[in-house]
Amino acid sequence: MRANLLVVVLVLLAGIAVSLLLIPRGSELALQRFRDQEFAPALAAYEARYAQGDRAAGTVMALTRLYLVDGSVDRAIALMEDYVAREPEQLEARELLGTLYRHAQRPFDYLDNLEAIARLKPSDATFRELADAYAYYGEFDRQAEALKRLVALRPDDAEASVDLGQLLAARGRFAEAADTLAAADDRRNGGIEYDGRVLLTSLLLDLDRADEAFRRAERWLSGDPPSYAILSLTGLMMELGRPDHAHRLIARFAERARREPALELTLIDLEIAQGRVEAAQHQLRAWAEGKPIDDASLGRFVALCINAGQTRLAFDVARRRDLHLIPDWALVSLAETAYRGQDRPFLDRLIDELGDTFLAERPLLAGEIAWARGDRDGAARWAGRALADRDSSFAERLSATRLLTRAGHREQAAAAFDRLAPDSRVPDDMLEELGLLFLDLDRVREGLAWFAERRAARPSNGADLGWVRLAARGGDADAVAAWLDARPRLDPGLLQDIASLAAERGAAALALKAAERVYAQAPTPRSRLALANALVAAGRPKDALGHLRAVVAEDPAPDVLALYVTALAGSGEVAELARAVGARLDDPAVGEAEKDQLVQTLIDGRAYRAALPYVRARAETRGMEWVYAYADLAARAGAVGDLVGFLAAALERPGLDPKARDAMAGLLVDTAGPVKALPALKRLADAAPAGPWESLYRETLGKLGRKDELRRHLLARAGDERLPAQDRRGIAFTLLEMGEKAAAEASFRALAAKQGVDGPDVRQLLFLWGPRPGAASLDWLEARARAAPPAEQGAWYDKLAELGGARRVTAALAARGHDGALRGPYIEALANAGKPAELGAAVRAALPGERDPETLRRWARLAEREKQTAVAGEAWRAVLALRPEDAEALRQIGMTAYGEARFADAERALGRLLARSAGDYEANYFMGEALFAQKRPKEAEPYQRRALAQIEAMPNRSDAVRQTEANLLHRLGRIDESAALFDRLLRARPNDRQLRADYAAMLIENRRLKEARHVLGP
Amino acid sequence: MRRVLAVLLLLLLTAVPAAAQTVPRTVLALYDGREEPKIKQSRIHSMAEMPLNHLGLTVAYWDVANGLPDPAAYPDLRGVVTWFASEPFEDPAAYVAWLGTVLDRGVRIAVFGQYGVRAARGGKAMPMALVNRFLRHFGLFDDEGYSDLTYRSRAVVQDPALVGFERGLDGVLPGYPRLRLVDGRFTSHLIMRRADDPATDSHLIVTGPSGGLVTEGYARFFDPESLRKRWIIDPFAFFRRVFATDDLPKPDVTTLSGRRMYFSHIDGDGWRNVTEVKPYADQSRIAAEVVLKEAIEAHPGLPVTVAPIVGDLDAAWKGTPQALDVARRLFALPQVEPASHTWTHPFFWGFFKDYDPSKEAEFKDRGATRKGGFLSRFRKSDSDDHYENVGEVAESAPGADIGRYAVPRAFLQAPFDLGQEIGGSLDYFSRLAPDGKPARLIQWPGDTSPFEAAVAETRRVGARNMNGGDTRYDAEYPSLTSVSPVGVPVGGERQIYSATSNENTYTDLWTGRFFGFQNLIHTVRGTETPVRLKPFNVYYHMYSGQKLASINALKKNLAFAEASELAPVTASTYAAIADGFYTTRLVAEGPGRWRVVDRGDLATLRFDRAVFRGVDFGRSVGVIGQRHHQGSLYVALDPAVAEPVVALADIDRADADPAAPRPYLVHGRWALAGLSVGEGGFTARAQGFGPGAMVWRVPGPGRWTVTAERDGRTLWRGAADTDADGRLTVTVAAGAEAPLTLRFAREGR
Repeated sequence: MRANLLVVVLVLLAGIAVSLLLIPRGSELALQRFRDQEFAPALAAYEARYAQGDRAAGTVMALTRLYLVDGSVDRAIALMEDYVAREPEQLEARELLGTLYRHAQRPFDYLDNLEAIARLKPSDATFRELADAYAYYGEFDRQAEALKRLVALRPDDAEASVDLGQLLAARGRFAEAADTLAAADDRRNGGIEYDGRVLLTSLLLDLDRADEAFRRAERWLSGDPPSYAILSLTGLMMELGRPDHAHRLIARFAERARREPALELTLIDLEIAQGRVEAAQHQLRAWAEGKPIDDASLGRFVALCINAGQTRLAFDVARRRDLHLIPDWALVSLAETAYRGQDRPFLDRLIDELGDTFLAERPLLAGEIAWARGDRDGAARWAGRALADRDSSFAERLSATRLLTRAGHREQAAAAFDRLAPDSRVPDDMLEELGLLFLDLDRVREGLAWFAERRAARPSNGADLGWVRLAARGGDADAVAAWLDARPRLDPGLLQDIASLAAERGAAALALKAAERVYAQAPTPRSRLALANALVAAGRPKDALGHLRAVVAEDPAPDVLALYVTALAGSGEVAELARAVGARLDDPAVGEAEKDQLVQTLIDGRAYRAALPYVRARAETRGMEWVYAYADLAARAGAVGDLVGFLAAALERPGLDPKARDAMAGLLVDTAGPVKALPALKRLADAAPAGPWESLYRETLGKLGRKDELRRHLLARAGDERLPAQDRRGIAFTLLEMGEKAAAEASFRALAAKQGVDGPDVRQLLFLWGPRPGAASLDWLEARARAAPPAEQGAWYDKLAELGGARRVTAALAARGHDGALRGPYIEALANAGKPAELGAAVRAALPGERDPETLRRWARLAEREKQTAVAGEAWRAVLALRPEDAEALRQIGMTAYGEARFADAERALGRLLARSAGDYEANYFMGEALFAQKRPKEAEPYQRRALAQIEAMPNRSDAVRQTEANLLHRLGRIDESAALFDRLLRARPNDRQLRADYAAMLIENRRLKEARHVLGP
Repeated sequence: MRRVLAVLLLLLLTAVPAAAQTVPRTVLALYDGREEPKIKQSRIHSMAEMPLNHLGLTVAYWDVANGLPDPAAYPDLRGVVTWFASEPFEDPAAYVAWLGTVLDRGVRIAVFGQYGVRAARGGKAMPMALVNRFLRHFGLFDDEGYSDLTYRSRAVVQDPALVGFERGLDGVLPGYPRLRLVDGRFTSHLIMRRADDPATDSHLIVTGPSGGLVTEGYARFFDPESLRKRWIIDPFAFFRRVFATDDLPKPDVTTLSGRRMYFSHIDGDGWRNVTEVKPYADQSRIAAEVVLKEAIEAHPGLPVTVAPIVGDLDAAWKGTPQALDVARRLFALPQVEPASHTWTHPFFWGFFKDYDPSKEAEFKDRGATRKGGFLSRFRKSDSDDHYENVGEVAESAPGADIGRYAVPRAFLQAPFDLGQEIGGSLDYFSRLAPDGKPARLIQWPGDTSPFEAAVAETRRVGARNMNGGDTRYDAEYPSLTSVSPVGVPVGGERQIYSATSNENTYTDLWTGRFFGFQNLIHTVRGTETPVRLKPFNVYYHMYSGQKLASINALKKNLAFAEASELAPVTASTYAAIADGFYTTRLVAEGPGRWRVVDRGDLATLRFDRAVFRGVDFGRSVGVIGQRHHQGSLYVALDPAVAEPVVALADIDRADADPAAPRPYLVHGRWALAGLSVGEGGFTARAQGFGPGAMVWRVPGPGRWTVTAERDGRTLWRGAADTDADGRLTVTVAAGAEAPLTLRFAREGR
């Protein structure tokens, strides 16, 4: 920029200098003033001269200069324009005008003027300036003209020729460009620069002047050219479809190539391109075995190996090297080659050596590899990763989603598809795959709606291809048909898809149209079969038969025969069907699998009678599948009698597989009916009393109303110890339902015989017996108790005592009741039997050996209940020995002691209790009484107050409590309240002597003798 | 009661909802400081930042030579832009990962030129997988093909809205990689096809949800001969798409009160030059006096900010009584704002960043002969002791890096003192000016490339700063690549550029064609239509008063300004508005409603593509007026309201000012503030230059009385009727250099 400005300045100054030189050296006043910088008068003087017609250079130039002094550049330009119009050959004036244009920012006037200057005085600088200016303003045709003139003026300016060549090529003037460059090259004897050579080579190849390109390249590469020159020219020739010339060029450097890997790689590349794969393979192997492959060459070497079919060599080379040196696409090719070849070990090794990083960056490829390895979950996992990768493109997501569908992860695929949310921006070339995905996911309706919108908004072939399969599957079949009609040439694969999809949905006409197109375009047996299929589907089996007979003759494959048979059936050609199939069934050369298929074909073709012997033969030897088929076929063919005979005979067969027997028996019932099947069922039930047939037999008996037969059957079974308990229990219940209580009870007893007291059938028996069983039942229980193991005897005796057999227990245990395990039941039984003395003795005897506080508590309570106070006290002390702070024991001991007037003992026990807890009102009351009795009323008072408070807090108070309350009021000096309460109580219970005594005592104690007398009075 | 309701309403409107979000406006520019040592010369700053600024975005720069930035440090981040020329990253994979992190934050990315990931710094090629991982962000996949020879390539898709902005795709095109579009969410704006083979299609310009990419060579054309550039793409359209700016209100620095802003400022260079202009030359008048007489006194309605150099005025340096007197007379004029062009006029600021007086000493002797260079032989005033050698010189200084200059500063009498240059000089001129008229703007001299501490010093003393940028847009510079952004970061500080270039670039650095400045008009027009990109700025030096051609050129520019519809302000006002551009935050408060926070002196918000949108005054606070212009809506904000709220609503008509329930300003010459609307009329404070022409849109027809008052005294009274469009047009014939109050009263109320 600075240089340009300087040029401008110099040009301007030069112009001004020239203009000054042009001024006549006269002594005119104007000139004088001009030189004296008296601009205003000079301007007036020169304008006057100009007005008078003086157009001489001296006047014009001076006036121009004066205009510039005051900035009137437009006037100066007008003046100069007028001058050059009159003096068009005046170069200096033109140059000054150009400067003025530039100053006035009139670039296009400047360029026009420069063109004029170039015509007057052609110069390379002018043409170059014109070319640069036109380039900047985008005037490329004028730029080309300027360059052409420059080249014409300076033919030795190779740079200009190259510039011109590039421009002409860019303008589409290829031949002209090539000629320009070729001429420049020739002028310099093959010496144009690198850019020109590459362009010229390309142009010549484009112009089908490959030989000339080769000759020139050969000349440029004569001697010892730099490697990049060899490589660029050979590469270009290769790229533009002349590997032969490229190979010839580089072949001259074969010796040098052995030292320069880049050359050798290109040489091998060209060998492959020339079809000389074996030579390339040889070179690759020789290189791999003979010399190291440097890091820079590794990637290309591997790629060439792949291209030359040397995948294993490529892998072997790559395996030992840093895989990062290999371009991604070559690595991908390795993986894909292995994938295509289903080379599982190779894929495994590839995965190991590529490592997680490589695969993680290419999850889709990893997924395809996993798929190829049969790893469906792996494929789905990788597809998931591809989908989770934020950077995955839409196309990759689409492919990943399809991979998911193939891997059977349809739900995941559907979710991924939802996230894909294809919108209007999906590129056209992905639409077909998108349509397939809609199909894969059974989203036909959704897909149709999507494509309807897309086709309306942006019609394209891609949109049509995406839509048409969906439409064939679930859209407007007529629209698809019309679409097909409008496109006479379509890919047979697409047509086949349409035919299949239309057939699936039952759009027979469309399927037929597509199939006819496929067959017309590619008349193969397969397309003929598809056509026949379509014809059958379209209800034209007779038309299909023609095709099918031909196809069957060539390839009587099961699916073909199936269709043939369908067509035969549809055409009513049963005889032909039976003949066609029967012939093959009787052919010993036909394998069993095919024969089976043929039999099925006969059946499908309604040739039932023809099929029957074949199927029965298979039913006899081949298992239930065929038995079923035979049963089905016999029913269709009206041969049920045969079937019953077959089944009955089969069921008689010894060693019959139980499953088969069951299945056949079922069939027998279904086909022959229950009455006919009953004997067979009985046999089955007797043979397997635990099997399903017994219940079926029983059900059948029930249904047929044969009750006696059923009762006998059940009774026999109830006692059958071979049966599982569950079954026998079920039978017992059934007997109960039938009113056979005794039989049922007997069954339960039998079942309960070996059970403990909590056994289910024991419980059921006890339920049947009720709360007071009869003597026989008690006998049974006693017998079980006696016979029970020692550890269970206690429970049995407890149960016996509970159910009214306490005396039996005491009797039974009179001798053994002190044994450890039986002490408890014995004591309980004594309590239940109402034998207090024996109970007291038993408890007293048992106390020393018992360490369980709760058992001791139980016994203490039982003893208390049975008024065995002393024993109860011993029992409570035993409790206290094990649990020193047991509240109940302390309380009961204290109360007992008080009752026995052992006030100090009572104080000790109750004191310990009340030191740890508030106690109940009784404990407090008796504590207070004990202290009171020991003449310690002050100490008693807090307990009495607490007892009273506890009573007052009680929501409901019994008379006994009220009586205690009255006593407490008395103790606390609230005499009137006490008296009133006693009074109320006494009125309610006038016969309560203790109450009356307490009341009277209170009154006497308080010297209310008159009242006392009244209380004690008659 | 009504007042209470109004206050409540105001409180409701001004309360920032808890969910309100600041609209991100920052674009992070990644550049390689080893490749582009100066931000000013970087591609992003010199070409991309102006369009980004126009779209309302500010640019923060990060030198990737220092590693990768922490995105969290930019809470206001809207986008990232890169324009590398080579491969700047030691670890391109880390850069790609960083981009992923940024994208995760919802930030968009614009890529021009080299991606920076094809190779590591030092040349080691990166795996194509990495390159493609990068390209996938833009929906592309590189097939590793490259079309070096492009003569058989043609654009099969060329989005006319985006491609061919200043230059079409023709001629010899750059080579390009084979880029396939693999993500349908992206739009291809340029697809090149080779030899009519669709299989060779390469998508060279794409935009999409994560940003956009322009392939190297296809963003702008560069002529290596002339070093000139032209945009191939439309940068406004590209960035608009990439950074999704349609819904972003644009803080605007071009417009005030609905009119294009005008300001003028003079650098004091050549103050003492004896003029050649008759008749002043006969009296040995200096250039500054000619400017005073011919350009300033002659245009009392056009404010001008005059920034002398103390060294030119102060007697202790090179000052003369005559020079000082002219300064006093200039500053006394009401339309003149005093400013400073520093004390000693540093040329090469870098020299003073780590100043060493001993290194400057060697220039003292050379100072006397500095005019003896190549150019001086062509100068008539070679012997003129007052002539200052400004701008470029052809000689370079030996022994010290001072760029293209012969001496590091114009006056070398005393050691450099930053405090004296900035605060000292401002104080000096404040004292010289009448009371109440302080100098508060530093106009950078020399290379206009101050170091950070220098800019910080202006801020420390409470001043603004300006200059640099050199915007040109005319036949000589026919590209918007020559239009500068609003300013440039200088470390943590910011330098505000002048809006257009001074006469230096028109006069070959004041060496010839002294009439050249008259071409300013082309730039002024070009930056107004079709889109207003810059205010009208007449920026020149005092030496324009030296030549007849230059003073005439200046007078032409001023005459053009007089004939234009403008809102004239001082240069410091513009600098303050420009500073506000960077600090402004927009807080979205629901659909079509924004609170404007921290805007400083920013006075206008612009909404583009807003022909059918207008201010919803019922939901807005602190809006003085609105005006549609060239498809955009300019909204005048009330400086008296700290945080105005602008809400927009759809309007039905684009051929008339939108109706509103209360009066609003359509456009006016003066700056208005404190608009208060009552039942019978409205009032506002006003300040400005020249006659107070203004147009209001008022509800309903009627006759209005208008008074201008200051300190309780009526300066002017007039009346006007609304026209058929509801416009009230009035010109207040009173001086408003000092603020006054305008009262508009509807008659009959």
